[in-house]
Amino acid sequence: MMNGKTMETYTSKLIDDLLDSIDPIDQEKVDAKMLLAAKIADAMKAKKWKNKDLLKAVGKDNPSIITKWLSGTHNFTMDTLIELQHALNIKLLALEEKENKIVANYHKTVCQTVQSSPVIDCVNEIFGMERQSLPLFSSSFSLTTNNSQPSFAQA
Amino acid sequence: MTDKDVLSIGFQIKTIELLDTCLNAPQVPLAAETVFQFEINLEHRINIEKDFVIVICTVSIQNEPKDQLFGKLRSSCVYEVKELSKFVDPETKAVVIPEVFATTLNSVSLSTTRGLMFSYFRGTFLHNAILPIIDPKSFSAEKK
Repeated sequence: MMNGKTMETYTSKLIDDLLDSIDPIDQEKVDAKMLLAAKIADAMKAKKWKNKDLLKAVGKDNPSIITKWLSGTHNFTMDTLIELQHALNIKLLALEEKENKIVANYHKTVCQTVQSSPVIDCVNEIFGMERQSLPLFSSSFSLTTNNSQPSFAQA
Repeated sequence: MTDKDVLSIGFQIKTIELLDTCLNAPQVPLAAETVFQFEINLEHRINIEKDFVIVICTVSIQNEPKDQLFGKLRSSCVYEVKELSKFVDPETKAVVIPEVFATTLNSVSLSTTRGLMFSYFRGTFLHNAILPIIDPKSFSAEKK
């Protein structure tokens, strides 16, 4: 609500159709060119540079090229982008994989005497034995095959 | 403590991740009382764009002569630190995290890893191999 008036959302089928008809790749190309132009303009502003300063820094002699670069429509070559990166000390290309930088490493070794697992202790308690003397099997079975059906007998 | 000594850094834990684990059965049955060696390594990684400090904690549990690895766990704790860029040296571009804050991050990460270790090793022969309480200031540091 602004000045007592309610803001209305304007919708137009024509505009929606036009926006839908734009190829997403073309849109991305336009966005990238505009972003590059904005980055260059911002870097110039930060350095308080005028067009002629950038022209001098990149070693060109045609002043209209800077206007073209800042228009957001110029199709930059790799060479120009690298020259601009150096001249303005900014990053326009991000080709390398970004990896989180390691800043510090901490190391320590500690020793601790640990009791055996409570499950094993419980078994020891039940059988009243030390862990090392626990038999492998608490009961054994013998297999007889006199008939066709084998039978098991507990020893 | 004066006002100047107070360091106020806003941070919160964003993610806890279990990265790697391994468990190797001992070659000979363990004695009722076994000495375990806990080798701990903490690695600090930085993502300035996202204001993230990532602490990767690796704990290896070995026998006393250190010739057998019983278990290993690697975890990562991601912290979002308010205005992380203020710790970047403008000249060298190096990130310098205040020692006291780094110690706090190490302490929280160690405790978190202790919990993850218990959860992973419970019910195994390493059930009682709980990561001991360690003074986070006692680590030997290597700044990059």
